[in-house]
Amino acid sequence: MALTRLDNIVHRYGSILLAGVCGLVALACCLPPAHAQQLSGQTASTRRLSGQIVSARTGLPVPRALVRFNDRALLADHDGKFEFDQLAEISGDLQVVKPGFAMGTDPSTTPSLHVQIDELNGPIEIRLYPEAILTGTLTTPDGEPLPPILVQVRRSVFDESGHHWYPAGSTQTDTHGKFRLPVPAGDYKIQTQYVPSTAKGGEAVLPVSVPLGDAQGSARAIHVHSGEEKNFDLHPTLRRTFPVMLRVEGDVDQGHPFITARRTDGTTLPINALPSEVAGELRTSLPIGSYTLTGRIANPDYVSIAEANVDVSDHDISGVVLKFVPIPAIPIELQVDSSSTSDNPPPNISQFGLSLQNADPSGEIGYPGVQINSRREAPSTLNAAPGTYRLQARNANQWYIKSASYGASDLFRQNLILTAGSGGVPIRLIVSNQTGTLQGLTTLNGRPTSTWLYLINGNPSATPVLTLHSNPDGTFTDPYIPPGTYQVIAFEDRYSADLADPATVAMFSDAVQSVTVAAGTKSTLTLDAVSQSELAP
Amino acid sequence: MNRIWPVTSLLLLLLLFNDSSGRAQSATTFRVSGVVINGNDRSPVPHCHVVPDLIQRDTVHGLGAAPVDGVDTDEQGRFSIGLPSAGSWALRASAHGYRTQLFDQHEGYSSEIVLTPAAPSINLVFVITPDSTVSGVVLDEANEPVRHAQLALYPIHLLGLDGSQPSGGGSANAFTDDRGRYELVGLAPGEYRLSVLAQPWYAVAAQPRRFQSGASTTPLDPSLDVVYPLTWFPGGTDPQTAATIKLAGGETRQADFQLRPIPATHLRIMTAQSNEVPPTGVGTPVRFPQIAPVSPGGSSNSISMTANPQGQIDVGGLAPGWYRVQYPAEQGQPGRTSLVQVIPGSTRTIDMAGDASTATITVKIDGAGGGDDIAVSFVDVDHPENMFRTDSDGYRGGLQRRAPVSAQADRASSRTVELPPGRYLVDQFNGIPISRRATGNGRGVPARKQVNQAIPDTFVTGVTIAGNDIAGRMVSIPAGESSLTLHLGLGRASVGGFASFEGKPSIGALVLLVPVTVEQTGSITELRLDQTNTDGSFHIDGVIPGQYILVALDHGWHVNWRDSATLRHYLGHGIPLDIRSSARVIQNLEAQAP
Repeated sequence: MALTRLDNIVHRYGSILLAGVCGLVALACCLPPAHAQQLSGQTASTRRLSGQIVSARTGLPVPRALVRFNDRALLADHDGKFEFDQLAEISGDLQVVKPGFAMGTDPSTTPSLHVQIDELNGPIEIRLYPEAILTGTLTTPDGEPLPPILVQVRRSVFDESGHHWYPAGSTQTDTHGKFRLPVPAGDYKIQTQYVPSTAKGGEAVLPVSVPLGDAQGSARAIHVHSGEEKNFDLHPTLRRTFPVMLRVEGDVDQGHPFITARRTDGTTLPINALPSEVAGELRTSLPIGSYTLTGRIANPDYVSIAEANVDVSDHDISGVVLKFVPIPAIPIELQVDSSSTSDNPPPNISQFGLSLQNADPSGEIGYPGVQINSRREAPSTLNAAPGTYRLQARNANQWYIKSASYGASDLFRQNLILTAGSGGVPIRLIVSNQTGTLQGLTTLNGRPTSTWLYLINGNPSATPVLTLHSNPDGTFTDPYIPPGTYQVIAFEDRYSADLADPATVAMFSDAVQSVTVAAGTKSTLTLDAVSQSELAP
Repeated sequence: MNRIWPVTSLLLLLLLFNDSSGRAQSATTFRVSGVVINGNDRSPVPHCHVVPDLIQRDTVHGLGAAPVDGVDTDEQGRFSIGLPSAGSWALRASAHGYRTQLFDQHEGYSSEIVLTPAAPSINLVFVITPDSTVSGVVLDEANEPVRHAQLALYPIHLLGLDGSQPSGGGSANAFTDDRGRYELVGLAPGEYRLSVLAQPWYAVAAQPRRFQSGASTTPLDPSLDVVYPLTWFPGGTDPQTAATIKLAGGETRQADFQLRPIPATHLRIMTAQSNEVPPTGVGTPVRFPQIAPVSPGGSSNSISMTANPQGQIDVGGLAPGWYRVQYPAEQGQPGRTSLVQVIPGSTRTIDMAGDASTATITVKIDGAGGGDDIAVSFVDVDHPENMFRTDSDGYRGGLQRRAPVSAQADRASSRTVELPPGRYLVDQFNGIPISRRATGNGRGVPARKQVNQAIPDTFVTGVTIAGNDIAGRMVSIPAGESSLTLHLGLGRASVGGFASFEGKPSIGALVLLVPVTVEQTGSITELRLDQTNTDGSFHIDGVIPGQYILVALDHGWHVNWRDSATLRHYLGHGIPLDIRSSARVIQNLEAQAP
């Protein structure tokens, strides 16, 4: 749900990557001489588009890729070469498909190349990125393969609403305990499924995460490059399980609770608890170990939670009480800054895409613990389990959040700390439409090109990084930039890393420019983008 | 000590609640012990998990049904399990590298361990065969890996007596990975056929959007408008050319494929709309039909449909096979269905307004109370892989969907089915035809031995089509609409007894209950199998009344009884039985040497 407003840009009007000198010479040798002079006097009968598809990793030709140009399609030959002739169109979108390869490095977009036929002065080179492969073996500590176990891979994604771990694929281990998952280059976390009991011996298989021994919500990840294969030998712990009877009390009328059990090492197990014969009692089983059980019942308007500690040693457990307590909703108040112009109606809270990032790295992933209710008629509220959070928001066109506070806490600088007793105190947002304009040109190796721009706010903000996208001719204009001083960096393709972290920006210090935007003024910037090849995805 | 208490307490419970079976048990200890060995090299199998399950015939919720804990064999493969009661016990073993197997398992049959107060314990050699594997790589015409190709491995012992391929069930499946590799694991030794189904990735990616109306776009380059036909190992497209893959226990076989694309067939559908609406007609949205394969090999994964301004629909991306083209009933308009066979390399045109290539059968059930819940199946005599059912509108191996309720039954006792005209075997459909209703399948993983599984008490006694009564189940179905009445009888019988050989119980013998009409296509009665238990007993349920010959072959599982000359040889020494409705026939017999 936390997609940025840029996600609706499906096409990447990327640059035309001209072949290197060697490539041009090689192509010119094997193509008919007519190709050398395409520039002038083109008609539909002579207008053609030709090129070669190569691996971005090795530079070697990629054979037999499917090339689509507008509504025509063909298979490139064994040397990756292709040619469309007698084109009626003077421009169009070129798309290349090949199993195991992608045109871009960001899997959230379906890239295509916008081609102006008349601007071409020869064959074009299209680089495809080979996918990366995550492989591994799941065995017992003494090397015996485990029965088929689900292995899930999550991809680390940073966007305007913060950091996310999006599912990027799953597979089952085979009889040798092996798994294999092709993924786009990027940052990943591998998780194996918790198996409550196996057929043989009835032992539970505890989940394993890679990076190993890592708490789930942490930002640490495995990086795999395009074309790289990384292998992981994983040895999940096997534990005997014992029945655990849970007594649910309190506010439990609204549905079946969702229960997780967190081990002392930070591993979190989803718990399947079924009603027992006794009313108000749930039956489950847990492997030997110490746990904090957390139950949650989500209602349309509020959330009830319960917590209990359990030690499972060598016998059945009963008498564990999960007492569900509704968490009071926190009202969200929105005020328009006094300096704002009044010619536009004030925005609705939902437009800001508010989210809370769990500041506790061991927080759950995949299960939203935070609920923000913003409806037109009713006042907006927020429900979240007790915890420590960081507020994230995006801009709503000309409106941006100028300040956010909770009691005495400045939520731009401090975490939002919610305790079981909190409630009643509102979160106050002050919004403003006093923005400035940032305009300019982005280039790639000196050529004006469409790029992704990231604006890193020098001051604390609910939106630490703004994302812009420049046009195919490299120009960009955004009239809704909150005032402030920004570090700006452009990338050839979408770049998903924690740019709010100064260490990340430091890696690109040559490409970073600083710009100050003031309300009601225009600032101009020209910058050269970091190319895909520099990133070595 | 702590082991004995629960056993005795359970016996006490038995004494308290089950006076008929608890008579002489209080002083007796029941026990099954033995050694588990590898059938290939006779070596012991250590750490093998052995679990007994009590078989409870004719009991709904019997006492003593509490599961008995299994044990692991020791380093010498030995095990010993105390049991709470006498009775028939199914013993299953599982170990790493071995699929779960029942004692002396053959195909779907095994021998139960029968313990009585007179013979309270037994010592066994439990032979299990290691799993076999078929693996390989699927490459395309340019030697590049084919991703996500679907492999299906069919055990030949599940074939019909005529060698026909069963439709659907009983197969093991796998998909290729990004390298085109696949592995079919956990296989029982035996003979198999292997097929692969895939789509050329570039054909799928090059297809226009699935449903497109209005002006047709540039026609697809013919070299991209291709499909892979269902291909049988080692590479033919005709099932008759499929090689037999013979797997020994523990063997790994390599079976690689190279797929060759063939031109996709196009289907042109003339709709009532295209006949009625003038060419200039604007505004009426084109209705696209539902298209589903009704035979194996057909695939709907890459079907694309485009409509021209006249409302004609062009369907691309079809692999050879039978398809059902269906317009569901809508807004008072009756639904229309046509069956069409797609043959490589041609464009077929069908006219939905008046289609003469489809037979529509209205089926009535006579007897057995009209049988509201009975579905009727039609198996093509010449192509038994094609099966049609009254309650299904797709190929049951893959895209099984229920027909809309309105189409299912106009009245409680009638139902309709569309099929190509031809010769069919009609039967009530219970899931798996009885001749294949063994507990095992190609993967041979019976969790527990099932008794009385899903065999209804009804059976087909005859068929009436177009007013003519037909003895047997084979009918010729003409094009157009016709009605068929399926006559059902009630009261299946059972046959049981003991088989002996040279004065001793014949253990693990193959028992065959063979209809005298076994060589007639469309016979009412069916050939049935069983395997004798450790006391020589056997029991066959759900027998259709009729005339049979009962045969037992001592250690006879390697006999090729499916060969009619071989079978005839043994039938000469069998026992003729005339089995009446609902009879409980007890017949002991002397097993023949194999």
